[in-house]
Parts: sequence; structure tokens; C-alpha cells
Amino acid sequence: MSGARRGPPRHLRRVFRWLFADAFGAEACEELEREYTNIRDRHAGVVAWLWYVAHLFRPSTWALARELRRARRTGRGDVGSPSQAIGAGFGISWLDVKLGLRMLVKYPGLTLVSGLAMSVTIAIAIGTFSFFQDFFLRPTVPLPEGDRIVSLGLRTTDTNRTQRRLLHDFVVWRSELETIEDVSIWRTVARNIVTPDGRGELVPLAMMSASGFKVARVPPLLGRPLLDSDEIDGAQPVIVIGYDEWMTRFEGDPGIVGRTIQIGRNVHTIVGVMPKGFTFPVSHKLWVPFSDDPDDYPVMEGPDGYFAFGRLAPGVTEAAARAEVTSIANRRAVQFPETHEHMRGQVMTYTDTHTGMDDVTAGGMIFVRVFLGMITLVVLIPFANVATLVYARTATRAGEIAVRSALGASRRRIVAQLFVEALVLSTLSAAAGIGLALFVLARLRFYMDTYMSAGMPFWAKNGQDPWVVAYAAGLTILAAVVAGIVPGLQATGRGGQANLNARASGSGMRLGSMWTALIVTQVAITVAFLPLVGSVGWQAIGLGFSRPTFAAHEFLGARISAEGAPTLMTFSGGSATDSHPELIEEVVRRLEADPLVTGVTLASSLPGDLFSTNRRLEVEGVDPPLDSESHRVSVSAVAEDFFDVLGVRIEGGRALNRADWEVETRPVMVNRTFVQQVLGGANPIGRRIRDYRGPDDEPAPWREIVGFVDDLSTNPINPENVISRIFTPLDRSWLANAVHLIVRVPSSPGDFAPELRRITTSVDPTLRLFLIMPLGDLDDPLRTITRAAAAGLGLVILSVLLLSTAGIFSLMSFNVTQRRREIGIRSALGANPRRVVAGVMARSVKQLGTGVLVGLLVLAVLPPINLDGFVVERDMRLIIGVAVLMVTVGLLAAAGPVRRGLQIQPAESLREQ
Amino acid sequence: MSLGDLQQLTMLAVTRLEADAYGAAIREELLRVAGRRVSVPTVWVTLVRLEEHGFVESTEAPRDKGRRGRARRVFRLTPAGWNALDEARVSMARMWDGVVQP
Repeated sequence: MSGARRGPPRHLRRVFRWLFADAFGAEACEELEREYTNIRDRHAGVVAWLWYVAHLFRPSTWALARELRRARRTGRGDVGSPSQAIGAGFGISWLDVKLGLRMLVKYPGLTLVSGLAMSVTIAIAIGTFSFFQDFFLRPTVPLPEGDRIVSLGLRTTDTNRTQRRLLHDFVVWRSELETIEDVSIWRTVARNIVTPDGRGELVPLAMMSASGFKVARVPPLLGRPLLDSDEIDGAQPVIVIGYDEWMTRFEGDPGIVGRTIQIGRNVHTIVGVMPKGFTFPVSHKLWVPFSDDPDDYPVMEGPDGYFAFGRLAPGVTEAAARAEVTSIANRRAVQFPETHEHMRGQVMTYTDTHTGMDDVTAGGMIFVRVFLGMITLVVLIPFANVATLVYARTATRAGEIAVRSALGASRRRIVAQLFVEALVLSTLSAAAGIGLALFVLARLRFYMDTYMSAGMPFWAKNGQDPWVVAYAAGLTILAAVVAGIVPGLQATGRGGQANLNARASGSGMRLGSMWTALIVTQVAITVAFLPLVGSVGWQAIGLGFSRPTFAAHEFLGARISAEGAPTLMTFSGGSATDSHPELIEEVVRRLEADPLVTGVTLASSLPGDLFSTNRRLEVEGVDPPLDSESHRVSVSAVAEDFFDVLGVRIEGGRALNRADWEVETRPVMVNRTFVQQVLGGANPIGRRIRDYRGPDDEPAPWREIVGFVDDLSTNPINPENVISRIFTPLDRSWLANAVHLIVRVPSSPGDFAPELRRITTSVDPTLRLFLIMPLGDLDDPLRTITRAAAAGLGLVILSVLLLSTAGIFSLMSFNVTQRRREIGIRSALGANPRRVVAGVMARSVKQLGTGVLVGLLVLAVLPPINLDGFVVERDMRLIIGVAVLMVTVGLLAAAGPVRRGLQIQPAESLREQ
Repeated sequence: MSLGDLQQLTMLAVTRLEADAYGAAIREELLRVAGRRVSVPTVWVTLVRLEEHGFVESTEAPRDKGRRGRARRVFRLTPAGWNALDEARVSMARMWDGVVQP
């Protein structure tokens, strides 16, 4: 029996080591252990055990533990620093960190692949967490006592819809509520600021009651906020501007207060400037007084898109406020049964009303948290993949581990070192991941602020939040645990130890069925899921490569609408009360008269528009489509001269003409892709089509195809991204809403934008232009966003592909390396090398083939994936491509060790045995 | 601060052992010379407290092959420790002075 085995029981020894965790303590522990051995030698084991255990109950033991801890805390005495003590407790030192860094350099391939996979995974997880944090997890409002600010609202009990025509109820709340102070209201209105040179610049304004500034409790930087007196009928129009507007539009003029600014037809006097970063109530930079009069509208009518809010009175709880609002709602249900019978009053956290969380119950919140937890679990998959790679590396270090064990290193010590090595990798990856996530979130904020009037809300922290840092730290440790401790325990456990010993003795590890299972699983998962993700990514990437077939670089496009018409890009729903189609027609006339302009036309969407929907289309004479049969088509209403102005030749049939406007079932034109995809390439002229839609799935009236044109765009990378299009006549009803102006300016369309604004404003300052951009501009927002999304997706796919191939490579390579000696011996015993190679490779082929088969089987039984109408397609080319890649990489990985095995000198192999 | 009985004995053991004043030896010395059997944690807690008060100081002795290469801590009295011990001795002598067993 060895001396070491006569020592005290391991677990008890650990307790003392933990209690006396430093250099002093270690010596005390050793003394106790020596004494234990002496007693055991002199008496019996049980006596020694009792003696040892009794020490746990000695006051002096606990006094020593206390003294040692106190000495560490105060830093007095030569008992080691706290970090050393902690490190000693876990068996971790700086040397392990250095070793970890050295490992990163020693295995650059593994570092690159694992690091990339971890970085992308952590970036995705952090981005998601940050998004949840800002929108769903009840974010805090960064205003004085922000948690006391609440939103008020009405929701229908029968249809569960939020009512935003709150004008009349707001008046009641403001005059009656005692539990909520400074009840306020706002809505966003999109208006033109008319510049001194007569151009109209569309901006979102917060039309907010003056009390809103009292709720925010943020004083203006200059001048004053809005006052109640500004809301009185006949008061002089005033405006409060934000810091950014002050800096960019007025160059930070210190005498700004008192200057004027023309908004639409009115001139407003600037009365105040709000401080930097103030964008209350959501993302606003300009504030005008609340001017809607409830007396102008019947109850629950009038402008839509209102939000009401206030501050809880001192000492009042949200529940008490809710009770009062509910009682008012009940009373109004009796007073106005027609409009309020099914209305329920709501008081909620301020941000909830803007994030769609206003009707989320406690159960719903649990669901949100569970969902977030699931995302965290999903990131375990790539981490597990990294763990496989690390395990393969750990296995190659079997000799080192065996030697260290023999020299007295405990299992805990070895696992701790592997953990630190993984922690070094995961920390560096997390740093890159955090950087990537913050970059993407910052870009997202930029796009939202630049291209959407509903910019990022002021409470969004975009990842710059301690909770996000804590989450990232948690993920980093999780990654290190999965990729370090799990393989470490596996390698140093009983089975693993046997393998390591076997390896150390030169006979190789016997991983057999587990290794085969790993290879099969890895190949199966890759073959089953990568083509699906790849298919989505390929389509997204392809969208960025669409090129127009007409002279797009000569055109300028913009959406135009009269004030009050619905706008897609703002909070306000609007009511088309004062839209004037004739104003838009006048703009077209004036543009046509401009010498720089060679053509002007109108359409419901821009020619390069990428939006399309799945429709069930029926072609006359062909069986009606099944429920599952649909085509991705885009339907655009176009003016009579649309193709003329674009310079697109009619390939067959005729163009739409004025007579078509009079026909009840309007004739249509289609593009070449439509002819190919829907009609199978047959002559479309004279064919009739209709689609099924609506809740009853009723067929729409038949429409005759009178002509077809070439596709307006082409895509050399992914031709399937060219959309089937149907063109219908655009009538005047479109002009009451919002249409797209398409202006041909051959010289320089981009430079014509200010002139377009000026001409539009000269017709009427209330005419609004959205998203003015040259059609050939490859940096237009949609393309840029699509490209950014595609790049992100591409990065994910690339890292998954890299990880999978690297995983397969290392698994196969390691698997065959274990048989290298066997190969050498067999050839030493006279086996035909060709047969030896065939034998080893056949096994590899079997493993890889099984993986491919399982993957295909999973694909076959997997139900179709439908993402909000977008069906994830199974591209056979991609599936075959991935399968071939996996098998090729696997076989290449196996070929190397086999070749090296054959090169071993037979005598050497036999001698080693 | 006045020294306790065990503290005095421990400090004396440290002085007697000179260069060999490490934990186990101190405990053996206490048993051998003073006949005091004290537990391992008791000796160590006494040493830690004495060091904290500045009466003893410890250094790491050269690595010992018999201890698998691990270093051990050797204690010695500081001047403050000497003073305290001397004070204790003088106080005790004064107290004994004139005392006769009946």
C-alpha cells in the first residue's frame, strides 16, 4: 500500500484545505495529515478517522480558519494575497492564463474556428438580450423618478385591440384623475419644415400637451418649455426644438429663442431648446403644442395615434391608479354604450405602451423570460461544437496529462487548467462578440434614426447596460465551462483516464462507438440544417446583387402624400381628410415643365421595390391552385406612361392605356419572370388570372393580361430573386393616399433632390416627400439594410460551416490517428497496404455515409418551415453540396493519418509493441 | 497588550528552536519541554495571531526534499516580541516576589 493511500479521506482533506486556504493553512493541513498517518499507524484507521473528524468540531479549527480569512482580508501577514488565496483554492494561477494564451498560438486553426464561432454566437445572444432588455423586459425610464411615469390607455375587451383615438377620454382623465398627476397626451405628426430657400424637409413632430414637460421634469437648456397658454385657440404658434436640431439647423445660435421657423403653412416661434439627449416622449426632436379640439369630433373619433401618460401622485400605487381609471371607464361605458361598452381602462409601465407589452400578463412575461432562456440554451449548441474540437485537442495532449497526473497533479488541478485555457479563448471571443454586437446595434440605431421617423426610443441603451455586461460575462463563463470543464472531466475521468493511460502506453485511445456517434451526429446536423439556413442566407445575400435593367441611374424616386394622408413610416395613422390628388397632379405638371426633367411618372411602388407577397393565383383553363400552392408576386399600380418614362420596351401585347382605366376588371401587364414562373413560359397575351384572398378565400374578379415587359431588374448571383410582377392601372384613388414619384433627370438625379423639394413645397407646403433617393443608388436604405442583414447571416453561416467542417476534420483525423499504429503493425505483418487503406477508409466512409443518411432523413421528415409567409426552401444543390463537402473533408482528414501510418517502419511498430 | 500563557510558551518555543522553529517542531517542543499537548490548529492560530500583533515574523525556509519539495514557514521573534516576552517575564517575577507557599 502506498503512503499516499494511508492519508485521511480525500473529501475530508478537501474540507480542511478549503477551510485553511493559504500558505499557512496548507502547512497546518499537512501537519494534520501527518498526524493522522501517525495515529493510523499506531492504532486503527477508525481511530485516526475519528481523531481527524473531531478536528472539524474544535473551536481552534474554526478560529484558525477565521484568523486566516481575516489576515487575507486585511492583507497583513505573509499569508498570500486574496487572489492568490482564491487561486490556490481553485488551483488556478497566472501561469494557467499564460498557458492558455500559448495554446491559442499553438493551435491557430482551432483558435480561429472556435473563436469565430464563439464570437458570432455571443454577439447574437448579446444582441438578442439587449433587444429584449430595451423592449420587453420593462426597461427603466431614464428620467427623474422615471418609474413613476405611467401610460394610460383603452383596450377593447371583445377584440383585444388598443384604442388610440383617445382625445375625448384624455379630457376626462385630465380633469378627473386624482391618482395620476399632469395627465398628458401626444401624437406624432409628419410635417414639412420649409427652409429659407423654399424647400420642404419632412420631419416628425411631437404634438404634445404642455403638461408632458412637467411629467418629464427636464428643464430646457434655453428659453422655456411649452405652456398651457400655448394650447389656447388663437395663441401664437410656437415650437420647442431639440439639441441636435439646434446644432444642425441653426448652428447652435445662442440667440435662437425668438427666431421663427415655417412648418407647413404656419410660422412658429422658437421658444425653447431642450438639452442634449432629450427625445421624450419616444424619439422626438421637435415639440409643438397640442392643438386638437375634442369638440370638433364625435366621441371616439378624430385623429388616431394618440398616447396618454402621466405621473403617479405621491404615495399612490399603480394598482390604485388602475382602479380609478377602470372606474372611469366603467362609468363612460354606461354613458356612451355605443363607443365605450367594450372599453377597458389601462394603466401600465410607460414603455409598455410603445413596445407592444401593454397587454402582456404576468404569464406572458414568464414566456418572454423563458424565450430568452431558450436563446441562451440555443447558444449551447455552438459551444458544444467547440467543446468537441477542444476535446479532440485535449485527447492529443493525453501524454502531457498522463505525465502531469503521474507527477502528482490532481484531477481538479488539471481540469482547472483546461478551464482557464478555455476561459482565455472564450474571454477573447466574448470581447470580439461584444464589439460585433455593439457595432451592429449602433448601425441599427443609425438606420432607425436616419430612415425611420420612429427612431430608437430614448430609453433604449443599445447594449450599453450593466445587465448586458453581466449577461456577456455569464455567457463567457458558460462557454468556458462547456468547452473547458466538460472535455477536461471527460479526459481525466475514469474512462478518459484509462484512455489516456492507454495512449501514454502507446496503444492508442479506444473511443469506438462514442466517436462514431459524434461523427454521425455532427455530419447529420450539418447536412440537415445548414442547407436550410444557407437557403435563407443565399436569398438574402442575392437581394443585395439585384441590378436594374433600365437606366436607373437617371431616375430620382420619392413617395409623396398630402398632409393627413396615411404614411407608412410614422407613428400617426392619419386620416385622409385633406388629401388633394390635384396637388400631386400639379407637382407632376411643374416637374414636366422643368428643363432638367425628361420624364415624370407615378407608381404605387418603386421599380426596384423588393417587397412581394405570397398569393394563390389561378390561371384560366388551369386547375385552381391548392391551398399550399402560392407564388411570390408583387403587384404595382402604374401610371399610363410608366414604361415609356422608364424606357422599358413592351415585349409582347400592348401597354396599359387610358381606356383600361374605365374597365371594371382592369387589364394587367406582367413581367418576364411572371411568364416563366406562373405561366410556364407560355404566351401570356389574352390569358386571364385571378387570386384568392380575404378571410373567405374568395376568388377576385378575372383580369386579362394585355401585355408583358422584360424584368425591371436582374440578378446574376441569384436569378430566383427576380420577382414576378403584375402591373395594374393606377387611378386617382391612389393619389389620395401615397404614391411614388419617379422623375427622370439624366444629368444628375441626386442633385435634383433639393429642386424636387422646392417644386413640391411651391405647390403646397403641406405636401410631404418621403425617402427621396436616386433609383440607381446602391446605398439606398433598403439595399444597405438588406446587405447588412445578409452580411450578418453570411457570417453566421460561415462560422457554422467552418465549425462543422473543422469538427468533422478533427473528429475523423483523430479517429484515424488512433489506428495509425494498428495500420503500421498490419503492414509490418505483411498485409497488403491497399487492403489496409480500404479497411480503414471503408469505416470512415461508413461513418460519414451514415451521417449523411441520417441528415437527409431528418430533412425528409421535417415539416415545411414557413417564416411569416416566407417558405424556407430546400435547395437540392445546397443539400448535395454540403453533403459532398462533409464527406470530402472527412475523407481528407482520414487520408493523412492513414498515409502516415503506412510510412511507419514495420520493425519500429513491432518493437514498440 | 499582555501575553497569554500559551502565547508566552509558543514564543519561548520559537526562541529555543531558532532556525528550526516551524509549526510541527513548535508543537513538539511545547509537548517535550513544557508538557503541553496542543492541537495543530491551536498552535497555528496562536502563531497567526502573534504574527498579526507583530511579535513574531515568518519566512519561507528552503525547500525540503522530505516534504515533496514544498517550502515551510520558519518563525522568529521580532524586537517587539522580545520586549513583550520580557515584560511578561518581569511582571510574573514581580508577582512571585515575596510569595511563599504556606
